[in-house]
Amino acid sequence: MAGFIGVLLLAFTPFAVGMISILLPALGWQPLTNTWVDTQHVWLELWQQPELVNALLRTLVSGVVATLLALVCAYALVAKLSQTQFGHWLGAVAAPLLSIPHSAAAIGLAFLLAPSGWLFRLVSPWLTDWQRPPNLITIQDPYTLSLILALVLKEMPYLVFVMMAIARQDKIRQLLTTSQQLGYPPLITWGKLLPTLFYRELRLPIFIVLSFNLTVVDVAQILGPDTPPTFAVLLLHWFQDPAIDRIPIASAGALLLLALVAAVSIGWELCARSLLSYLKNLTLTGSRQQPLLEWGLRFAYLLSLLLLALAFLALLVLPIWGFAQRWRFPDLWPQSWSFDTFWRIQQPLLELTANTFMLGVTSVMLALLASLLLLEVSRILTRYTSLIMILFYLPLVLPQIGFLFGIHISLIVIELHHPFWTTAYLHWLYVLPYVLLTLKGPYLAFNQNYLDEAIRLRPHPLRNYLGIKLAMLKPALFTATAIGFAVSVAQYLPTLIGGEGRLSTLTTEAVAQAVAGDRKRVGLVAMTQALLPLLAFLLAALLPRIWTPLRLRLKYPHA
Amino acid sequence: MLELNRISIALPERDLIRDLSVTVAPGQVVAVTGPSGQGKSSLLAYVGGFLPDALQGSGTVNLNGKRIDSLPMEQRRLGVLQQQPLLFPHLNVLENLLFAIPEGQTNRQRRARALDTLAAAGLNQVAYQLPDTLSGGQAARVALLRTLLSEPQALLLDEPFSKLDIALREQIREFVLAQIHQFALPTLLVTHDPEDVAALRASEIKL
Amino acid sequence: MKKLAIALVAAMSTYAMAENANHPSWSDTLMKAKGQTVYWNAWGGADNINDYIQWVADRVEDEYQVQLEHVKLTDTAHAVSRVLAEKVAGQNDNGSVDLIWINGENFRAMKEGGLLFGPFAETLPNYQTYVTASARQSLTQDFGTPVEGMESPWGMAQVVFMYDTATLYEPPKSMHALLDYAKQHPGRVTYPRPPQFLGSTFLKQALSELTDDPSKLQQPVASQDFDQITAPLWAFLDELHPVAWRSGTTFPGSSEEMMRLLDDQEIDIALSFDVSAASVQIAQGNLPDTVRTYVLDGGTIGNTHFVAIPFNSSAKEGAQVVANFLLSPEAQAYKQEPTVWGDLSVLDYHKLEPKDQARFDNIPKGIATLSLGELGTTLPEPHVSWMEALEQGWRERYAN
Repeated sequence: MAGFIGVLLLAFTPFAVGMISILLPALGWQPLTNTWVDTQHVWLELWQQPELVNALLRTLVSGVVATLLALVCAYALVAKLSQTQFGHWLGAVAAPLLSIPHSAAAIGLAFLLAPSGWLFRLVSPWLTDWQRPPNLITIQDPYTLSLILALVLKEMPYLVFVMMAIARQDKIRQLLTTSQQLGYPPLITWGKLLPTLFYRELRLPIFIVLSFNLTVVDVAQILGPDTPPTFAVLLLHWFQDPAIDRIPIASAGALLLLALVAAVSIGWELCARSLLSYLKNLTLTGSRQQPLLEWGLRFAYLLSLLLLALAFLALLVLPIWGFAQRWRFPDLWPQSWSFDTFWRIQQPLLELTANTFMLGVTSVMLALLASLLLLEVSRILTRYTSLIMILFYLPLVLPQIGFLFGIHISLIVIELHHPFWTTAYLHWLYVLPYVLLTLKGPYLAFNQNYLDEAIRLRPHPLRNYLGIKLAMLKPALFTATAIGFAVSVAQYLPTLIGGEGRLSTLTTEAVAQAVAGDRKRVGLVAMTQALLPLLAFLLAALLPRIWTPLRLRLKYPHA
Repeated sequence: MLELNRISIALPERDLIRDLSVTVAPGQVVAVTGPSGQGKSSLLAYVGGFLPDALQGSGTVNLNGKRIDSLPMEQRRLGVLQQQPLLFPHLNVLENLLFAIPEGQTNRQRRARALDTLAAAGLNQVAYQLPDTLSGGQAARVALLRTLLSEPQALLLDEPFSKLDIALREQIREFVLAQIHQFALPTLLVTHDPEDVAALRASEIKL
Repeated sequence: MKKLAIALVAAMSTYAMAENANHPSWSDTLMKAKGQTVYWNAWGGADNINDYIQWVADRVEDEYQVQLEHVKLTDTAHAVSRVLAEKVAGQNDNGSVDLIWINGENFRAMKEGGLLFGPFAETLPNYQTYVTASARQSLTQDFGTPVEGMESPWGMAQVVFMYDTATLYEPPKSMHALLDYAKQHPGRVTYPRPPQFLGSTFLKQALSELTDDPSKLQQPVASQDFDQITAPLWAFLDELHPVAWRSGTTFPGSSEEMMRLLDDQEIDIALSFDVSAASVQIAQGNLPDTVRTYVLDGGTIGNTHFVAIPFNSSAKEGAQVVANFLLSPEAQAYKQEPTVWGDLSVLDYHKLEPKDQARFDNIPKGIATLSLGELGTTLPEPHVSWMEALEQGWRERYAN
């Protein structure tokens, strides 16, 4: 029980402290001089920032449209494919796709979509007559289209993953069969009947996606507009502005962003409810034909396939840049290849990989320990289960940007000067919910009779817990490890702040260099960044399968 | 000798079993029968120490003169066999048996004992197989052997044959009965199948 | 007479005491520096500069047993806000930053915020031996902020323009010519996004050329009629943006990005604060070897960049040893080699010993690097207050 409370404290103190540390400046506290100014003054000044309105607008548009598109595309994909063989395969690869750090994908996308990018080279000059890149605004566009595209690419696999799990439930399958027997084509069932059922289980994932899209920093830095940027990026600029008087308005802005997320979530929920009740009425008409719905779903399905192809190309272009020597527009392929860039940066690359790996392993191991503790407690005290789960969703729904700055100040207050451990701790905060959610199902579904039987046969509770229960949960533990590792690898802002600038990972390096840096170097770093979690997933899929046969083979070679 | 004294088991809203008392002699089988939902399995769970929190149980249980109902599950020295064999899927048959053999012997002795037990039951060819490769009958027999190797002082059987093919049941029942007699174990059986009662020559208590 | 002598002695002893208290002798500094680890927060966006810093780290470890760790920043402001956060938290020693590559607005913010240690620069042996502070205004006035020994000079930079001779024959050598060129070739001209340093400098460069009386820019902006003085600048940008790269809706983030765009032929003219940038990038295969550097006919803005020590550094002695090494003829000459970095020396050539003069004479010049003579007139940086005012004006007009 002490451990349980300890984990809860460890997990929630930073959020509380962080929130207080942005609340005070937002009320008018000047940290450097330790003086107070009028609260009204701070908010008035925030209101007078020239970028404010447009930045908020861009945040709102990109966040909401990206969420909507990701949701519709993912749903259409699941509707078309969930009951097919290809769908099963897709569900299986969605998880590894999910693991690719979004900044790597965003960088690849930028390499594709820029006027000098691969897509334009594909059609130049033979089709377009462009000998040099056209003067088009295809990335960092003021309408946030390229940002929306990147966000949809990031969130769609996650939603597909969640929805595939729902679609495989028996009740959904039975419902599909029943309504087909009643004369409804499957797509109509998906369009009219199933959204309500899905939405019930999708609400939380959607809010996570929404909150992420509204507050994302790294992807917005790579593909978002810059005059002005989205609000979260603007806040980062303000927090990092050497003019110290920006801290109060930056803090106020962070609160404003928080309020925006809350308001958009509520608005979303209201819209969703009225849409679902409209669909319900539609169900009651008994109509077996809804061309608009059907074609809508088909179109979204095609769009989602197109997006997947784009994601594939975006990842493919990274190694091409990494091993190119000279590659000018409009050449489709590099004029010459070489390992020069690789040899030139192998030393820093190795160091970055080592940092990334150590952070990932440390935070995941600690997250596994904490998750097992929390799950064991919630297994015994079932009434706490939902409370724990809701609390742990908090870090996913709360915008990172505000309270991380607060955490930074508070960490210095307690004189914690361990970039590695501080960063590992911040990573742990974000890894924990994913590990917990991944383990929750298999752990709570574990047939406790096995452990009871083990205890009757051999009276060693702890040894049995490890040797029987955890050993039998191996696949889930490995999957949780891989997912947690991928989450850690992708962390940008927590690494930036926790590492005090002394700890670089593949992600911070790739994002820092993404726009301005040498594409050959960025290509290699981003490629390594994408490979690391993929490798983890490969191992997670392979190891539990070969573990026991291999162990027996080694232990009983003659048998 | 397994003695149950005034056992009562209750759901929050109603009683399942009231004041049940029974004594089971070594090598004797007592069968508790009756329609499902009457608390047959709960009775075994109470005796075995794994009654779910939702149920209330009371009464004393003595095993060979020692009171065990307040002891934790692992100290009661009872062997339990359920519908599912509950063989650990990541250990092979031999390892499943080794798991059950108490400490205090050398590894070589423990291993020899497990292999002998398997051979005596005609199962030596499956020693190095994983449980999911066994047939239903093989798994049931391995499960019983495993329970016996943990040296229990009484057996609790909860519908142990209901998942088996009818053809197999006969065979396994004989096997179980032979072991009960060989080790002189007091045995409490829960079943709804009259043939179980007859085959194990059990005295019957109807709920 | 006696009175005067007493006064003198008193003054001398106070001076001596102050000297002892504030500036321990250099040998003491060297002694204390031994074994210290110096975290040097320096912008890490260019490989060649990173390599140079690594070279410095190796040298100071060999010679002074000082461990130098390069903390690579994407923006110096990050380090400034870190020191600020530490001050907020009351962390007055054991700070995470020991040395910081800095100038201009960041320096002003740190100096005014009391975030710096010093004065120390003028006590460094190499500063005393080789630097002539009066040689350039930018050595004592960092964007109008008096340096006063709170930062030690490291190198000099001047705005240069780059173009590809294979596609562009007559580069535009004034702001008006640049605008005409952009109108003839829409989408091929741009500048870094203010408040990025080079972007703000472009605004100042344009303002210096377009405004009627550039001398007014040397005064604090508050004392001037900002709207009237800057009106020609905004008129110029209003004309430029519709024909600029990506129609002025977005701007490159840095000089590196501009050079990449130049290589991609998305744009025709790139800017840099590094006079040998073009040569270095050609050598690394990131620019075609037909790229050349030029400056505007009316001259371009130049400034000095420095290193400073935060007030709460845990390795102030080690940091001073590094700052002093950076001012050595060896380090300055190596830095000026175009294949290394090509950053201009801050030392006074005439104060160097003959063998060190020879070292500078022998530095090979890259094919795209201008000589000191070709760099022409160096325009002074406007008073530091202009930067923020211009950035604010730019934000209000173009960033929303």
